Amino acid sequence: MKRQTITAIIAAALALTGASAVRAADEPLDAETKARVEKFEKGAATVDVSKYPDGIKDNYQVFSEKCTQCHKLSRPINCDYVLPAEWERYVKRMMHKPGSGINATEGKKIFDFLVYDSSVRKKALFDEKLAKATPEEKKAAEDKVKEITDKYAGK
Amino acid sequence: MRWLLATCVATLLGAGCGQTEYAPAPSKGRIQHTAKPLADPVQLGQQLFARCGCAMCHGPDGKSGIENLNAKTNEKVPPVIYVAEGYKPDELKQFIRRGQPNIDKMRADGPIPPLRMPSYAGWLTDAQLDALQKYLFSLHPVGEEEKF
Repeated sequence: MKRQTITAIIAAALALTGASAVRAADEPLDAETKARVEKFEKGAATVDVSKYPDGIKDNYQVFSEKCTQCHKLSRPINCDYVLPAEWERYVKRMMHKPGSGINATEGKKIFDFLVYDSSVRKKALFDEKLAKATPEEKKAAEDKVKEITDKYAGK
Repeated sequence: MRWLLATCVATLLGAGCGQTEYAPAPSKGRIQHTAKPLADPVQLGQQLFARCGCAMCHGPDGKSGIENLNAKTNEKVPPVIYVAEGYKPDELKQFIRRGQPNIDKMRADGPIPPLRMPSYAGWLTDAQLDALQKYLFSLHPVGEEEKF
């Protein structure tokens, strides 16, 4: 009861201050983000990893278990992130959220899966983004994909 | 009750920092400096972090946030010391502009988390946002970056 009372007091404080005034400015953008996320979440909820290397299959399990603690798996599966740099930022952002339960080793496994999967399943978008990248970004992305592909191919 | 007090103060500062520490805003509450502007953007960012209420929720050094009842993030406001790993500068500035109006619940049947991040669009100039981003990036612990 005490916590509920405190929550109610805080909610009232938020409503009474300028916080509510700034809210109007961010609602349209938030709606845009929400629509984007909902679109991703309506897509496929699993990935066919039957032809992926064994290590990547293992990483897919980690990805499936960890990421569904907070959101639908279809969100990252269908989102428009494909480049290693995009996935690195995204995974680290999740890793550092309190309570994510993703340690650095698991984060790396999830990252490896997402990079490999993007280079195969989302190749068209991957190539499209590479074509727009700077020469340095392009080289870094291609090197990372090769590093991960070789690692799981046992080279 | 300490966190409740901090929450209320943070809300007041975060929403109306233009009216507390600074001169009255000309139009949309944009923060005005009455003192001589700081040349170092990191220092300016640190000042903004303290004066705009960020520190009240994310902690004075950004390392640990205060309690946020039923928030998915372990019922805490997230720390900000690792943002350099998770965001590009422009992404972080966009996040600050937009804020985070909806905080995911830890328990679906629990209360809505009382704290959310307000939008700073219109409250901070581009230069101030740039300074805040640089300060937040400077908080990253040296040698702790995970190499993917």
